[in-house]
Amino acid sequence: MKLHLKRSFAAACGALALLTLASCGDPAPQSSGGPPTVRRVTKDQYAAIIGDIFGTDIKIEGRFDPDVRESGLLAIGTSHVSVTPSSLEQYDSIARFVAAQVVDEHHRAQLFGCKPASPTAPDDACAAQFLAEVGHQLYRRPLTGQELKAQVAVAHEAAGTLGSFYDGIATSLAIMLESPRFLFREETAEPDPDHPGQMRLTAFAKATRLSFFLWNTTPDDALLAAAESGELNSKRGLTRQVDRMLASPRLKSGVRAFFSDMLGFDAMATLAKDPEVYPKFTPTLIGDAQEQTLQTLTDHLLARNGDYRDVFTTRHTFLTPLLGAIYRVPVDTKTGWEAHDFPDGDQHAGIQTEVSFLALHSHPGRSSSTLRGKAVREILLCQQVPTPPANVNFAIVQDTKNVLLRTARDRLTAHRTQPTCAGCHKIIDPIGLSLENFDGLGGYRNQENGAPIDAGGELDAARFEGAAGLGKVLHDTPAATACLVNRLYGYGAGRAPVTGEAEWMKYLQAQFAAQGYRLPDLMRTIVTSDAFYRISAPSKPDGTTQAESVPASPKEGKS
Amino acid sequence: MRRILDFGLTSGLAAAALVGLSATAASAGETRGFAISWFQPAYYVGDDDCPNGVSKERDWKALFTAQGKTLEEIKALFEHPLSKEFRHAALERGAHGEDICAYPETVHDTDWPTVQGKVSHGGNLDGTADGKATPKTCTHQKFAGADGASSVDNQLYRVMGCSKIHRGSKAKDGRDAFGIEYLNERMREGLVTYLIEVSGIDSIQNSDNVTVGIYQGTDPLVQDGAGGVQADSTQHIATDKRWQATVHGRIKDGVLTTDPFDLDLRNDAVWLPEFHFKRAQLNVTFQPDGSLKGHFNAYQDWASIFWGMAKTDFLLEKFSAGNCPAMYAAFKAMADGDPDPKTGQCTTISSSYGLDAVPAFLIHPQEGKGAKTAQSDQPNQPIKAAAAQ
Repeated sequence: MKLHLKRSFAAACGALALLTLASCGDPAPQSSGGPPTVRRVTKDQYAAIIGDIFGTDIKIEGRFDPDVRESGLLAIGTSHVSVTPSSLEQYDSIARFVAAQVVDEHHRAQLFGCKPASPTAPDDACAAQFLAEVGHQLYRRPLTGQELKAQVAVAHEAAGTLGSFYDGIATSLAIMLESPRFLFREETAEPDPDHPGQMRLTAFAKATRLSFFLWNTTPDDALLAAAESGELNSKRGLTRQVDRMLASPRLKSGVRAFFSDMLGFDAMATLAKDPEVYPKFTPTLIGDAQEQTLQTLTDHLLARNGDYRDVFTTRHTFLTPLLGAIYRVPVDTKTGWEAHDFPDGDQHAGIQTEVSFLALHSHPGRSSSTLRGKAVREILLCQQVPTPPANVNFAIVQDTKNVLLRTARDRLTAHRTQPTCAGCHKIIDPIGLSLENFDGLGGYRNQENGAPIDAGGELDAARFEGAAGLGKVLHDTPAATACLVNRLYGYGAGRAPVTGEAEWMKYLQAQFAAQGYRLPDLMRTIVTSDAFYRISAPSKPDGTTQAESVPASPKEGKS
Repeated sequence: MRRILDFGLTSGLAAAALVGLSATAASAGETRGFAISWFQPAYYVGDDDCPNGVSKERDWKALFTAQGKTLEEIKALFEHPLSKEFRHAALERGAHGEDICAYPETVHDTDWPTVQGKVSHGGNLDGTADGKATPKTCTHQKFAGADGASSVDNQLYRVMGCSKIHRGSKAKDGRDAFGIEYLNERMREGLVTYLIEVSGIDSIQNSDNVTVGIYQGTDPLVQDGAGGVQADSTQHIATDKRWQATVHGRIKDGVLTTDPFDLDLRNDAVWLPEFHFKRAQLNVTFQPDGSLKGHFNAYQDWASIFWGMAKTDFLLEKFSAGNCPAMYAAFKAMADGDPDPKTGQCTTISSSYGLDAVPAFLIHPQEGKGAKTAQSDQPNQPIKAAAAQ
């Protein structure tokens, strides 16, 4: 492993010399760290945890409160949400349903390491064994003696009342499943003995952050053991765990979760299209579209260890028959997926030309250069676009049957004559107009209302032609890679980078460049760093706080 | 030819253009595939087709009275109209108690309304102007074509066009008749898939020499969000060559027609398990959206059509305003194709099927991976192709 790091580092020197973003040989800069977070587990994480601990055949039925997107990520929003009374009822219902399945006759033999003396009476020894083991995994740390005692007491009382050992266990388990200690990833800090005066995450909090970042689920036994033994606090121990986790197939789940969040795929669940305008739209198709992009990304970034910038230009993707109908290419497979390479010169190049992006950032009955341009700025480049004023008149842009303004470009040009609109539209429309060869569902077209489409585009100083041209510009703009670094770090930390992490973020970006923009390398750099686990002091003596957001890219806030 | 090369540049169509020039192509040119989304008998709806109205459910009370049943017995039967007693009285009334749908000739009944109108969908299948007998046909009346053609043969329409469950509205060109729409829905829901491939296209306006293949498909049709059949799906052609045919055709002014050909297709096992088309002719028009719309005209074995309906016996007689003996007699009288050498009785009947087809990618079984065909309507062609046209 040491050799590998040395090789990466050596390769970094050449690139760094060109970029002059960091001096070769410089150690990672100091980071203030940020505040610890308390994050609510998401619906997907809940399912993953239950699957990991009790098996994937345990059903989860119930409604979870929606997550909130902050600083571009739901992962950051989870640090700012709580549990409402109504959602507590849902958690209670889900917990009881899960617990009942865990103790049913079908599962108990597999999941219980002991047998009660009598199935109809309390058995504290067996209860303690089961609850300690499960509690360790659910709370992502060992239960305290007091916690375990309380849980066993609940199981005992319930078993006595209900006349069933297993029903008693189910009662106790349900309580753990709706406990804040399970539903929230509460981060705890401790003084860092290696850096006197500074704070770091405790080993169990570190294991939790690491596991959810890389795998999007709860730490496994080996990681919890490394936390418990203190191994995780040593560089070597941490690296050993990181190596193991990066080599695991579970990394794919983690990367999929990250990009689902970054690309806003949660909105897919409520995406609607006018069937008269887009008859090919179906919920199955949209599910396939989302999966297509995730497969494109994981194939390129993990299976091929490809350059992140190439996700904007790649012509290699995966299709189902339903997607083939949108892209208008044959798909031989009858049921699953098959790889597909769009030919050179084709406008389908990069994830921004996939149905997931094009359909998600369009209106139900028409494409939207504005929404697409805004999405490129905000999602792919991490640049904030101001919200439109409340009194905007959209009549011109919405009138797609206007015989004088037949294309989106015509209508938006007219719309921009309104001074209140011009400022924002001039920075987003020229990007989105380059995607006008794709209708509101992502199907290719070169005419709108009989008029030829001009897909010329502009992003800052760069002018280009069409979607493929946009992909090349996105490939080359430093804002795109800086955005990924910012989002990835924020995703792992559960908060946007703060002022005291500015130098660290620059360093990460330089490292990313030096590593050839390889995602696994970037993840490794993050999770093996001290900075990732550094916890800042709550406030400075003068009353100011360090927790101020760092711009995600050089452009953020200036648009 | 320039258009063909342009297609080679297009998204996903490159492979199609390459393999599209294979064995069945009549000449170098574009190949287009289609999935048939509508394929049902075309029963024209005019004002004077059925002057005596459509078929009516039999007057069971009169029938039972004629059978000598008492009012009490008739009342008892009507209290249980789905009972085997009702069915027995209604159907098993041949000379020796035969089921009149299984043995329609055991009862003489000609009370079946046939079309009296002068206009029909279809084509001139016998090649005559007046319907006089030929070695391959029996004497029959011609129709004027609904599309302006003359000397149209469609005796199936003459027999079935006034059937209550087969007569739809004028506004929908008859397609909304229960007995029509229901069967087509079964196809759309995945029961059977029929595919068309047109290769050797130089222009969809005019091509003198194209090859048309009609195939049984193996994939269910894909329904779109608007209730139609999804365009641009990928469809696999069935391996069994019994269920396919290829024929020479031509395109003139956007209308594709073929030489006569025979074709067998598997169909709905409930009503007609197999189609046996003879001397079929395709007559379809390329639509602006890339689809096909038109008619498939052919002779069909009329007995299989009749028996397909007659085997539903009680359902046909009691709930579909059918009349097995009278329908049988009408088919026999109106049949106009392929006279039996011994009896002279025609064994087939001229027919016309409405046919719509949406663009699809077709994959031939022997070719394994790689699509055979492609399609594109003008607005969706990538820039390079359009600019070169």
